[in-house]
Amino acid sequence: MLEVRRLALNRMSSFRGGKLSLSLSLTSRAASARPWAAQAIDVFIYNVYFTSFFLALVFLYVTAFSVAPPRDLIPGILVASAVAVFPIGTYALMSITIPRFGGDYVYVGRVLHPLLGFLSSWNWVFWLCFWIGFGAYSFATVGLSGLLTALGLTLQAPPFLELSRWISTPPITFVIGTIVIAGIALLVSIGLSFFLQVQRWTFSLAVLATMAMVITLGSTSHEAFVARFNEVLGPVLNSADPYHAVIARVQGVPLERSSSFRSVLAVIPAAFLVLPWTIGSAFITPELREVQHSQIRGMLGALLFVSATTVLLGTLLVHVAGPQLLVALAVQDPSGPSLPLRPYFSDLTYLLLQNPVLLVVSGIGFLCMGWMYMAQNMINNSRVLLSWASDGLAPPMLGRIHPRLRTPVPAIFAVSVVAEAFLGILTFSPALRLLSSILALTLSVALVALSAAVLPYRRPHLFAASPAGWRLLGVPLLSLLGIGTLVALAMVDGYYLLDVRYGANSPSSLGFILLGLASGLVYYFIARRRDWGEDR
Amino acid sequence: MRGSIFAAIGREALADAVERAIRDAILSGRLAPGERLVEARISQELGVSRAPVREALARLEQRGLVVSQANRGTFVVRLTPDDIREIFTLRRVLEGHALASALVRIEPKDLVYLEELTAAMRDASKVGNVEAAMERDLEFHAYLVKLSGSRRLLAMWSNLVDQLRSLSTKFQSLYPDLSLLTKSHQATVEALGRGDHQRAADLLEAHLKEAESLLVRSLEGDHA
Repeated sequence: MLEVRRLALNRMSSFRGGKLSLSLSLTSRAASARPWAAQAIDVFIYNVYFTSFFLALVFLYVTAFSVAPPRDLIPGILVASAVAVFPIGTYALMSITIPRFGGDYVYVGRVLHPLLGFLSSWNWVFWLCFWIGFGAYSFATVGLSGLLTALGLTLQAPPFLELSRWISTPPITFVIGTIVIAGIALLVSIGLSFFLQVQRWTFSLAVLATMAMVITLGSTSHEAFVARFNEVLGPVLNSADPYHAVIARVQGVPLERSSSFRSVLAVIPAAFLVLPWTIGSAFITPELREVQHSQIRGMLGALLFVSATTVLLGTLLVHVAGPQLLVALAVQDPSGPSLPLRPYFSDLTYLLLQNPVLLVVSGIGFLCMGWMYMAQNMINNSRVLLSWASDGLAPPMLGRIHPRLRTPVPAIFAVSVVAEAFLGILTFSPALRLLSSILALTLSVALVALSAAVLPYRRPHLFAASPAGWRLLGVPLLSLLGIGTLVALAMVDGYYLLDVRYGANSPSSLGFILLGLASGLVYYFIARRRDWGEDR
Repeated sequence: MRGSIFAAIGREALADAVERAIRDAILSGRLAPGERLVEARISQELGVSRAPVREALARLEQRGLVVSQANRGTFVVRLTPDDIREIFTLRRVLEGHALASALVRIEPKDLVYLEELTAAMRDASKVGNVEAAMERDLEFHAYLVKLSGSRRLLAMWSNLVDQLRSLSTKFQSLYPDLSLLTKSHQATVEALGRGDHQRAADLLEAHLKEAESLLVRSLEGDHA
């Protein structure tokens, strides 16, 4: 009884009245009871990172400004955000209904056909490895190089510009990329608890950097931006007014276009480079706490964050830099010889950060928001390998979990080796740096959407027992989300296939997508014949 | 007259919501066994009057999740080793009966679903997510009970299991090797698939006895 009273007193001492104090005391205790399992906030960060947010945002803005007038950017992103609820909702409900490792592998495999499930997940593994390789490559050539260039221009210090060029040379890029891959592999091997802590810290830094960018852009007038642009780039370009010189250099492209419904729609495929990908946690469902709560809040919350930030930065960018400059930078050759500045929103913002400390902090935050996705890719791929090994489609070694760290170390190592190979290819084969995976990944999402649409009818037991077995006007919500996703993807894939400006339909991209699928098909039949045995 | 009817419905719904909130806090471990539940504080926290809180606590007492002591107050139930033995004895009776009733109803699609639950449990076990593994474990048992087709049996079983859920944090360190738990379920499904009902019943019984013995030992350790 004494113990009961002591417990009660302890509890009372943590109550200071009001909701906040109770919530905080309960939350902290719950967290200490289960120190490692991912909570909703971790799932939220995981999914924001999985979009490779700032790296993808660079391409989102460049693509959007090249296909539509800048004033259509915000309406386009808002419409795309609403549409993105369909694929994200589909993944969230599928992960609640089938709470297993492997993502598409189990969703599609259990509902449509095992071969389709395998191919869909192979597609993910192939391209996520490619993107780890690309991340390692671009960490040096875009992330570090951009920061050093900005430092060089801001401080008028040529050594930084030299260093920026040096780290962009292939051998140095390869070495830096290798270190990055090894570091990420180590980080995700150590254990989920440690990784989640790192995620939280880096995300805090990334949010600070984002706020610094927003405040900087928000407190700068267009005139001040032009003056700063000319001040920094004038000596480099040998021009008194480089701002207008850049705009004047673009010939034959109408920099002032009129807004229309069609141009708003044209922004959606550009926005889909970022927005619908807050689904990474679907691959790690067995590692989450309170799956239903975590997945729905974590995925949709991440979409909200990503959309709001994209809108905010986009609005400020258009207002401060001016629509003509943004279009001019977007439609010119990004690697144009005479301009030391890339058409990236980060580079334009860096121009305004005159305090070197702020610049470095923002740069590190930018790197976190843009490149931490490599860790999520590695984790997700290793969990897919785990599920293949469970079903005898991969050697049992890849299904092994380190007994103390509780991570699939051999699978992480295998993913790192493939990513390293992609890093080598990307570093020394410039043509492949322009590969786009968007059509491949939307194909996988379409298969999951189709599975979701038919799951309540093909697997009624799963649907009936699912905590996400909701209905809207009598129709399964899962089916509605799946059908909505298929309609949305039909539209955006139409743009990707027919309009060269999205960069998705190049012969090399299409060839690589087919190569990926064909290799998956060959592997599947070899693995089936080989039969490593199910891991029970 | 109409006004009073609506007030009654509103209070009922409010009591439901309060009951759910307190129940979730207990089952998730946010409220620990033995913790005192003060009506005034809960009503302030949830922004409701004290009447629905009182009603919710009374219902939770009926469900065995809280216990009220004269002149002392209401506390989250603290299960003793004897409570555990009693709960598991009843579970074995109920689940044994449910399995016997379910045998004539089990279809291949049920076995597929049970396999799916076992696989999900195995995934969670592999990475040491005991909470998720236990959740899948209970879903497995609940499905077997549901297959009996008896709603009352399911309600009785759910009530018993809810009391065990208040020990969810204890499960974290209970099973030295979670894969044993998964293997037991896998073997049960396979026995059902072969039509070997006796083997399935034996496995289920052994599985429940093992869980009981681990929990009792753990609680006895706490009390010592």
